[in-house]
Amino acid sequence: MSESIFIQNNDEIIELKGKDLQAFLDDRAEIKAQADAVEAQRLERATKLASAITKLKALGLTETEAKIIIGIE
Amino acid sequence: MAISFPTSLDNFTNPSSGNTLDSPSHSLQHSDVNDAVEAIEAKLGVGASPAGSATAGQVLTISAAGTSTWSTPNADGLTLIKTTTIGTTVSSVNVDDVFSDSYLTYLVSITINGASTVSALRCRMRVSGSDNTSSNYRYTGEERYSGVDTEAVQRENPGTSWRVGTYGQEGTFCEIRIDRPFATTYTRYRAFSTIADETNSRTISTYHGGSLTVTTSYTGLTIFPDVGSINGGSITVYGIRR
Repeated sequence: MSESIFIQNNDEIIELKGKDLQAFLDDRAEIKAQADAVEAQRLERATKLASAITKLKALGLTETEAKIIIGIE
Repeated sequence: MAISFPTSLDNFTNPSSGNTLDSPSHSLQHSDVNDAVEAIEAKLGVGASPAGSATAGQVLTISAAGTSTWSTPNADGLTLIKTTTIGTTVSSVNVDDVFSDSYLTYLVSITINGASTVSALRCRMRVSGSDNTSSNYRYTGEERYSGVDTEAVQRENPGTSWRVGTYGQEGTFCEIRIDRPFATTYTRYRAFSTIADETNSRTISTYHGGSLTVTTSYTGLTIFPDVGSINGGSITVYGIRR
C-alpha cells in the first residue's frame, strides 16, 4: 500500500496519510466491489442466456428463434 | 414623390440655394420629410425613455405591441463559472461553490492529460465541503471500443457514486450535463467521454446517465478515478442559461 496519496480540494493539494488514507482506500475498495458485483451479475446472466440458447438450438430452433423465446430479441 | 421607407431607403432631392420654391417642389419636400418621420416613428414605436436613460450594452426592444424600450439583452449559451486546474497525480478533485439558483442545468467539461491506468471516472455530488458518499446514485451506460464490436454495459442501482466515463493514460475528454443540482429535486446527469488509449492501440468511448435517490441541494461535485490517479488537465463548469 502507498504510504500517502494526494487529493485536490479546489486549488489546494492535500496529502492523505494514516487513518485518512485508509478511509479513502476503504471507500475506493467499496466502490470497486460494488462495480465488480454488478459485472459478475451481468456475466452470470449472460452465461445462463448462452446456455439456454444452446439447449434450444439442440432442439432444432434457430438462434433467432431461441432468442425470441427467451425474450432477448 | 412618395417615400420608400421602411420597404427601402429613400433618396431625397436636396434643394440648392438657387432653386425656386416650385423646383424641387417645396410642398413635396415637406410632405416627404413628414412621411419619413412618421415612418420612423412607426418603426421605433412609442415609449418615453431616451437613449440617455439607457446604460452601456442595452438595446432597443419591443416591450409591448408598438412600444419600445431600452433593455439589457439576455446573454445566450454558456456562462463560465469556474475552472479548476487538475494537479499532478491526484486521486480526487473537489470543485466547490459552482451550483446555485442562477442556473438549472450545468455543463462540466473535463480534460485529463494522463493517468496511471485505464478505469472508471466517477463523480459525487457535494455540499458544505463534504461529498455525498451514501448509496444514492443510480446510473446506467456503456463503454465501446474502437477495435472490437462488443460493448461493456455498466450500471449501479444504487451505488455510492456516478460513473461519468473512462479515463486513460494518454488523455481523457469527458463532458457531463447535470440537471438541477441546486434544486431540492432528484438531480440527474448525462455524460460522454472519450479516451486515447494508445497503450492498448484503441480509443474508448462511453456514455452514461443517471439520477440521485435523494433531493438534496448541492453546490459542488467531486471527480475521481476509481483506482490510481489522474495527472494534469482541467475541470471547467459552465452554467447553461435558462
